[in-house]
Amino acid sequence: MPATFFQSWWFQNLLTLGLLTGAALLAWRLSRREYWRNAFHEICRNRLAVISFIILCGYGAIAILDSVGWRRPLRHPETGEVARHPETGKVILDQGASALDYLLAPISAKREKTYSAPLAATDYTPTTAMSSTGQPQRVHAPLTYPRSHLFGTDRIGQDVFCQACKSIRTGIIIGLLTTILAVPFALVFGTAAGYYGGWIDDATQYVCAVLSSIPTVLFIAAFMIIFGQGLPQLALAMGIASWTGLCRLLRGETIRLRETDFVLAAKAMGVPSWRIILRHIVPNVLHLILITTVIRFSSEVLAEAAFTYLGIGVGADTMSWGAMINDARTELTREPIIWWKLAAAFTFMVGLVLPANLFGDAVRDALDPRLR
Amino acid sequence: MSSQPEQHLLAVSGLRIAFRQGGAGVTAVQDASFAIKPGEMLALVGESGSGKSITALSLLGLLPPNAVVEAGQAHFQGRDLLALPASESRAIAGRRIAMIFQEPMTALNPVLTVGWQIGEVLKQHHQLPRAERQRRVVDLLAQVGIPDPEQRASDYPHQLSGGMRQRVMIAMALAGQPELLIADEPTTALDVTVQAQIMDLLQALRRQYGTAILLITHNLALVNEQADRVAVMYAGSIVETAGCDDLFRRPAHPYTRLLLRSIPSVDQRGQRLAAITGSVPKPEEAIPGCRFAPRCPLATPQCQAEAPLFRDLGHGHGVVCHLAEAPLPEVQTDTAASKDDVVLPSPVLQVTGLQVWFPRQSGLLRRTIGYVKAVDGIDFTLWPGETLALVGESGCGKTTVGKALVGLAPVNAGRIVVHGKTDLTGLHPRALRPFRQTIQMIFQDPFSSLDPRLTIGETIAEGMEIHQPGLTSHERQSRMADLIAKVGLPADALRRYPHQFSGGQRQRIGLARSLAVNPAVVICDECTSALDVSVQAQILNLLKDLQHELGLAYLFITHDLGVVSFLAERIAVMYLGRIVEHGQTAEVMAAPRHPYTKALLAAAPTLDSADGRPKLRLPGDVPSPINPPAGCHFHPRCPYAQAVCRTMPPPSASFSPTHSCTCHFPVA
Repeated sequence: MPATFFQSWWFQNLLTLGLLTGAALLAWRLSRREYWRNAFHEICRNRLAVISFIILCGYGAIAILDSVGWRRPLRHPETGEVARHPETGKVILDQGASALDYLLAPISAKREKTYSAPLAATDYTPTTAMSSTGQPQRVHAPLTYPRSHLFGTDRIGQDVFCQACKSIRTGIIIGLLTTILAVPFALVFGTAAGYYGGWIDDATQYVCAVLSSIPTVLFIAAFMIIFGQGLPQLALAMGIASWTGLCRLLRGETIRLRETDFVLAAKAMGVPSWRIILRHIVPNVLHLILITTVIRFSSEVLAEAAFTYLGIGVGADTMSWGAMINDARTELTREPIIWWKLAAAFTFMVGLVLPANLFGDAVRDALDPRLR
Repeated sequence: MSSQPEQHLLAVSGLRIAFRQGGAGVTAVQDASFAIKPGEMLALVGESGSGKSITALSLLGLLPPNAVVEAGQAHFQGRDLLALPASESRAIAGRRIAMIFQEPMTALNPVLTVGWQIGEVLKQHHQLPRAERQRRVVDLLAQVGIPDPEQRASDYPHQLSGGMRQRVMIAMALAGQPELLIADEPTTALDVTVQAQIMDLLQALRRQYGTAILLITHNLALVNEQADRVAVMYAGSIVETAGCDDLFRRPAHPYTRLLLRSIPSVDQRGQRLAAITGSVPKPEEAIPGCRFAPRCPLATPQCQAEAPLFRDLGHGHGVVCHLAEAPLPEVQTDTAASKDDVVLPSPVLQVTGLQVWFPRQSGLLRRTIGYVKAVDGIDFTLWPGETLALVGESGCGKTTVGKALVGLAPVNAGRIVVHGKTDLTGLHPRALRPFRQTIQMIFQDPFSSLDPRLTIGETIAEGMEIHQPGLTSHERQSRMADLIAKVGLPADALRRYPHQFSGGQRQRIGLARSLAVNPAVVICDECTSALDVSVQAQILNLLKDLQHELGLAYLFITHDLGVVSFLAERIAVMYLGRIVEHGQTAEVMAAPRHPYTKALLAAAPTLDSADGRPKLRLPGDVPSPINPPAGCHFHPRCPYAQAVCRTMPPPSASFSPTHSCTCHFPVA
């Protein structure tokens, strides 16, 4: 039973709904601005970008389906009867599962005994069985559900494709949340330090120097030990550890922009500083943010794998590509090697990171009026 | 033209160069033919995009990878440079033909000493023992007039001034003892007094070694004073070739004639400049017939249909035009421009004792160890409807004055009083904001002065949103439409982005942005120096028209004395943060009193015949304002300096109610 409201499906559904509404509102606001409308038309003309966007939407949809869920009445495994509380007569609910779990149930229910290769009809490793003549022999036993596992099954016979799908949410949340946490920090401190200079610059540079002199692994390990393992904690720790690089980049670019004539012209006009930063500096560093974000997104997903390997990543109960790659590490040393778990994690990661890169490039070009 | 090619050192004929752009070829140079005799100086003149630099680069085999020579020959000492394999053309380039570039700052490697870099060139050409090579390096540095050549050989490029660096570049070019020196805008990045030194050096080398020089420049006045022959390029083709005197006295092509008239000088005062409409076409613009026809006031249907052929006018004067001798339409004179009958109201801007000192800080605690006295106590007054020119070389502090007036540089001391009432210095930024609109600024570089990510409309609206917050969006729109029409741009410009406009159009946009807040004073910081001559004339005309219409006062910051004499009523000459001479333009131009003003006027090339003017050449460069010379700042370069100049700051002397100068020994 969920201990608190914050761990309940209610809260998570509300949070997902809230985030989706926020994104929709932002898109609606932007669609009323000509600058963004032009950029949108520009992206629509780039076929590669549209394909990338559709793929990203697919990933996004899976992540959203995996984020909403509900609890169902507990049923008797054989009779199918709804379980009720013996005294109050209230329906007893199960732990609940996400919409994706329910969708994948037909596949994930097809459990095998152990490893099987993608779309195989028999077991991967031969087992000893009695032949009809009574002689023991090594045979590849037929699977319970032959030719139904796209990416094969793992050591305990679970479908690898289902695991990879379940990992999408983890990957996207790590990538997005880390970025969402890091970019505002970097943007605010980077532009302020670059634009105002003086003690603001000194203080920011000092904080950056201190943060980047702490070894990332140690920092995250300490963070996870103090706050417990989990997806939000990891994203927060990685966000704090990684905003300094972007901050320095933005500071340098802001210093360059601060001296350009169009910023001087705005100053001479009496435009307040915060408005110069919002109107002239931020749009002109946006391409840098976009490029670093997209590059970072892929490295965050990989970093998650590394941290999981070190035992300081997301908890063991959360499926992730990092955890899959870790499993694959031992599987790859077997003879014959078990390659499909790695292949599945790799395919799903490339399938996310490559369209993200292509789409990021297209957005950057579309936002630059000089290239139109 | 090339009847006896054996006499020529270099004879280029029918040169055609094209750029490959996404499969399609764009012709950058079309049928260029010219020839240089040994020891001759040929000037290749043209505005930006005329193809003059590409022509020179093709001779040395230095074309960018996407450019190809499609046709033509370049015979140099009996060999066709364009047909040679790369290895042989490299042997000729650098040794027989050397090149010096425009930007002496980037042409030298900053982490190697200049002696090492010259030695490297020597190594390419001669097998010399090490000591001998060292000696040659020092010789070369001495030859190009660098004092203390032994010391300077071990200096790094950043330790030398721009002029010195250009001398080092010339020394490197001379290392191979070339027969032909290609100088691509060799003085464009330099101040006029340094430009005069470098041109003198090139002429001396030409006399001494008989080196022919191909001078590539956009500066017609410089050509007039330096070259033997001139080839005028326009949009990829040579439109006129002639002896220097011939070209300037009897220009034949309408482009040459209009270009000469569009150069501002004292003769055009009170007139409009003969600006050529439009701007130089880009190479990818397809223009049938004569490429100048769309801008030519004489163009006939024949010009638009049929490309003209080369016509020989005799005496080595040739022109590529259908209508070479037809008279040009007269320029309308600006009758209302006489300023004498204008009653001067109260001054709009009074500056007294203005000082801008930048502290130099050092150490962990940022202690101030001294000041860069960029502006060191200057006074001037500006009345509505007049133009004051602030003239001086780079580093004299003229731009800092402009920036201090609009609050972009910290004012140390002094008063900036607007409309005779409010002193702007020491006002809190928020209290200053309402007065910001009084003084506006137009910047030098049209490409960095507009935010690339805002539409023109958003850029112009920015100031109005601050200073006229009461306007409805409809009122604002209609006012912006007015402004954009006033500066001569189409109404749909408001929805477009800066990169869609040419340099001249961008300066118009910058002007519209300033005018949006109804300023009384507009500071023009070198606002035409990045533009082509024909476009500069359009902007100067526009500035005059707007001044007349709106009663604006201009503080025109420039180093171009031609523009000053055309536009300004009064001149203030600055040297190292101080105004050394101040007076009516006519007074100062006719009888300069300060030796610096005199030298500046003498160094600036003009279109008039150069013989009558006294040659007063200044040695050295503008000293650093970190540690200015004691006494009179100018004394180390002054030919008239006496003992008193080294110790005592000079007093101010008046010669008329308007004309004054600070010098111990004003020139009579």
